[in-house]
Amino acid sequence: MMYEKKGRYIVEFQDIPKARQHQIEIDLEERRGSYKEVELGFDEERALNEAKRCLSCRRCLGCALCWAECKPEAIDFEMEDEVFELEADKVIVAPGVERDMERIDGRFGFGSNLNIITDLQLERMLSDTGPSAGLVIRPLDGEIPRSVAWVQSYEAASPQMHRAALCLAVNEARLVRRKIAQAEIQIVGRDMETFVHDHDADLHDAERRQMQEGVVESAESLEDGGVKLTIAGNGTKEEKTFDLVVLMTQPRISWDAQSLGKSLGVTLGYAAFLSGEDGGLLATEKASIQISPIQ
Amino acid sequence: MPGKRVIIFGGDPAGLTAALEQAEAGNEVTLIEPSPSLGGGRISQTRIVAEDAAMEDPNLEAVRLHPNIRVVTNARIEKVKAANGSFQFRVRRRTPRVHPEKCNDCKACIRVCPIHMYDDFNEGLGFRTAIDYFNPKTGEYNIFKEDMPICQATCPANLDIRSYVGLIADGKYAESLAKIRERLPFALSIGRVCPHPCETACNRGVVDQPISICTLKRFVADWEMNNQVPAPVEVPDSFHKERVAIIGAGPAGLTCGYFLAKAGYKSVCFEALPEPGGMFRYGIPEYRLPTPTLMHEINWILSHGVELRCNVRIGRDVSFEDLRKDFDAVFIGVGAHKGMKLQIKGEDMEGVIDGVDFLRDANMGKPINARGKVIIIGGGNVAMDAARVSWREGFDEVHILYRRTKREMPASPWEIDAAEHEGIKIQYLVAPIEVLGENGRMTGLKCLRMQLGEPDASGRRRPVPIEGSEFVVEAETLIPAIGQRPDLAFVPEGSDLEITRWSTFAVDQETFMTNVPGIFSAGDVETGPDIAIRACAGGRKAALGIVRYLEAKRGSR
Repeated sequence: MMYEKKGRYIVEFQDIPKARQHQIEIDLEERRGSYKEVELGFDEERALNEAKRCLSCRRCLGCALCWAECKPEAIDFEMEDEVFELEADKVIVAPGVERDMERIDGRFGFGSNLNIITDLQLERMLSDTGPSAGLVIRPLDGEIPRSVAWVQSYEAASPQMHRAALCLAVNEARLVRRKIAQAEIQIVGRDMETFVHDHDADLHDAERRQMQEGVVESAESLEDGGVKLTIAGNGTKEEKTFDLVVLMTQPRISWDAQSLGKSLGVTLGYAAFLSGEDGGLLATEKASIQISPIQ
Repeated sequence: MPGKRVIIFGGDPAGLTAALEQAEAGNEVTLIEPSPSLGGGRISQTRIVAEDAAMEDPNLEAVRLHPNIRVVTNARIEKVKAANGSFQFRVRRRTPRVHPEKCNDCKACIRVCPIHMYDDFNEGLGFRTAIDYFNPKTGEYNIFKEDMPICQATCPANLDIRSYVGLIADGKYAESLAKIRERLPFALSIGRVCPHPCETACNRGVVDQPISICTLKRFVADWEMNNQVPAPVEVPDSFHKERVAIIGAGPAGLTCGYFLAKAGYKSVCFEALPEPGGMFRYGIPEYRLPTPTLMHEINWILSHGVELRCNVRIGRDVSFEDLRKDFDAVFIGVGAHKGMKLQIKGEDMEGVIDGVDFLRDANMGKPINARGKVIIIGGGNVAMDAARVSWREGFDEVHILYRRTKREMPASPWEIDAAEHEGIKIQYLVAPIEVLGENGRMTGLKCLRMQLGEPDASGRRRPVPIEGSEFVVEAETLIPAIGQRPDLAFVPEGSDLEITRWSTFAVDQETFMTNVPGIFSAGDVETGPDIAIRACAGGRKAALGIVRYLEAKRGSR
């Protein structure tokens, strides 16, 4: 079933640019002296392509098909928002982070090749409750990738944020390794030496995973769905092909948390909660407000 | 000592950990989470962890079952107030529209939901349905709903565009067409001729180009017609005894008849011209809407229980008063077929034919003396249609004169482009001042060059003549297309019907009833010249108004 949560891993990604389809028209010579219909509409292929472009505003339309189908009568379109007052002596903010997909530079090919995904998308893929039920597959064809590269896709705004992105990548790489034992795994980014040095004790399995200092200059899609990366580093340029490319993205504090911080009158500093010091709560300017840093 | 009241924002692993700790310490915890449900596993972003512990799946069950923790999902803070050492929050919990205690997680709703949106629960990886659960482990179902989308709100008929486009994307063409027909019977015709304000409003236009909504509508209608799929005719088993007279078999009248039939009321539609369709048939040129296509659609509409009587002009063949006596309600949808005059000298000469009349003659297949040069006056879609028809008829040269510039032209840009593509020459900032002729036969047109001055009431810059710029264009045919008005000759003198200064009927915008009980009106005769789908929208609303009127009348008897 197409709509089953687990089975509906549809190969379509958010930012695929698809041009508007144009109607078929008859030639100018055919029009003079005739009343032949000029525009001929869409053939099925064009219609499907065009209809699939409409996605961004899709929300419930109130068609009530689900309501009609719901045997236990659990669906209630009249149910209204609930507004209530809440009093508290103490506030803890767990701000979490967001990562903007739309800020990814075009040279990384995100959106043009389904096999280029973000680290957060891979996190969902690795989750048992995610769209592929924990299976790591290529979105394009559902194949198990034999090689996976993590690629830095941002200019680091702070060392802490860069470190957070690399931590996520390494952790993801470990999970992918466990699921696909033979996979070739490579992480490409900047300031690798510092990161490896700081986390030396935790990176004991390093021989099975290449941490490469470098910058990806371009990502070219290959016919088989693979991605050819051009990696520049240490004065050399190298081309390498991967089955799946994961773009490391930079975390930032969510807008929700920012505005909440503002109305509470406290500063939610990035560095503080990204530093990950022993997991305890962090203090703010106000004694009764604390931050629970991301884990 | 009683525990403190602790509020925690954010249900990610950090928030959940804090919640459990605070609750264990004896505090009374409220956990506020903006998303519809507490999330699934997260991978640590702050430290390198051992493989087995890499995916942190927080103990959701412990949080949900803890007596000291109250979880509020789908919630946001609307207001914060700090006073006397405590905080006051106003929390808004968005409705999930699903009662969790009744839901048995059978997934039937997900299977039927026609909306496939990007799976925001999974970072846009694939699609989800508008009704869905965030995390299979919590199973909290939620309907993601908002007010009418911009395309639907812009459409005069408020067509449920997202549904029918979404159904096309799923390959469900018949269902898509049925969705359109809930509010509009003219999918074939509107899908060809509509200037689609919905596309102008489409959000995707901000990103690249709007969705081609109009042509998609046409596609499903064409699909049914071209594949000989029987179009469903769904009417009640038996009809009420009341009958409705419809004057004018155009977009408004036929739409009204269609919805009356669906509500169980038969109608008789009187048409002055030989064939039905109104402006669809006699205003829109054949190359934009072929008659066989239009008739295919009209015949289907009539088959619902609308009786058509053509060549019957009310006020000539049947009196308006007789109609009022013979029928229980009257709908007037006669359109606006009377061309406006240029109000210049020589306008009544042979060779001058109004745009609406010219298009009607062409659509009726009447011979047109297409010789030499033709001049069309006006910048609207009727002017473009007249020009493109003239070119097809074989005039040597086709010129459009417009008194402002292309920017102010009211015609649809694609119609202007198509006209230019077909070799029609458009001259801007030119106005006619006199038709020249010999023996009552036009030979040329005296014109004046204009420049743009201050904006007028329509917001467009008013054209101002340039003195001494007169020039003469030799031409044998002149087609003024500067606007239309309704022809209300059928209304008997001394009638109590309220008529506006634009020769239109004033109606109640909810019921579409005129000031005379039982007489309804919609379409161009009510709005003034406007796009077809607005006429259809009015026809539908009037049908609903008529049904209410007849029901009330029956009830009071």
